[in-house]
Amino acid sequence: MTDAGDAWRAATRPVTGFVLDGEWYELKRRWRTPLTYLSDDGDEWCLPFLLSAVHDADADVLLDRVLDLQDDLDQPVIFTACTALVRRATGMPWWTAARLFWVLLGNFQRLDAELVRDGVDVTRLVDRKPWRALAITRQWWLGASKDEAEWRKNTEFLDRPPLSALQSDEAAQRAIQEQAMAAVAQFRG
Amino acid sequence: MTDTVDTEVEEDVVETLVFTTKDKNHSDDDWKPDEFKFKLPDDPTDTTYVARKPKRATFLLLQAAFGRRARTADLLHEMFRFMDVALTDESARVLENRMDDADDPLEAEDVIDLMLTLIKRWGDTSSEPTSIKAARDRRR
Repeated sequence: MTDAGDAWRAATRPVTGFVLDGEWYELKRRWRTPLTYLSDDGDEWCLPFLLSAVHDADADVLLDRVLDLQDDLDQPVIFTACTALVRRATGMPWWTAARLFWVLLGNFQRLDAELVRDGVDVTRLVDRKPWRALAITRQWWLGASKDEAEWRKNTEFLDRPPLSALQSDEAAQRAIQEQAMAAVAQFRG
Repeated sequence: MTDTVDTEVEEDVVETLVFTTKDKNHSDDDWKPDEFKFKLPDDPTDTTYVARKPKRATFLLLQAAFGRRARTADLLHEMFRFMDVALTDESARVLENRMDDADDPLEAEDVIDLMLTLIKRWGDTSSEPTSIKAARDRRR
């Protein structure tokens, strides 16, 4: 699934920002926070991802644009921007990046212990070179497969595209409603 | 820039990420917000409030506040910001004044109920196509 060109581009020209409607938005070089919001399905992760990826001042501008009813900036453009950003930053599709980051978090202690011997700080690597951190995770995790069958299963888990395209908008909206009801019920105690 | 060959290759391959909202379907002229006019019971000001349907991204912002383990203060902030966006400036100001007024029976709880009403009203149908689908179509 991973395109060699994407990986090369991510490594040779790290993405530092993007242009939206002629305005330059600068990225923070601290990928751990946006990567935490990443999900392998749906598009709900996009806005928190984007707002935490850009500098605070730029995030305020983006937020104002999102809240402004007259402004055309809405989910489709945000989704397009976020998926492109993830691809440029990690060299892989967003769902693969999301799952690999989960693997990284789930095995953080072991990965950290192994890599620190070589003088590599994983947290710093995630911040500055997310493509390499995730590539190392992929290599390490698939390499730990017991046999061919498990290796194939794990590879498929990482690369399979999500089903969110099939999910209707109504279902997504209903989910928001239910969550809102539950949150308010909880808030009222 | 000593190695010109290398530079040329890189310029060829690397493009800046550029996005635009200008290719949206509706132009500014024919766009009308989805409006909802309502009155509140026992309203001393007898105002007709006007709310407009916020964009899908605004709903998702609210959802993000519900989803993560937000502090109550953050959640409240997000809720009232949602109301601020949804209501017209005038309606928002009237509501704000009523909440500040100690003699007025309107409480924060009522505003939250109102917010839930608005979410229910606009949550059912969305005028936006699924953004994922839209993005995929654009790439083709």
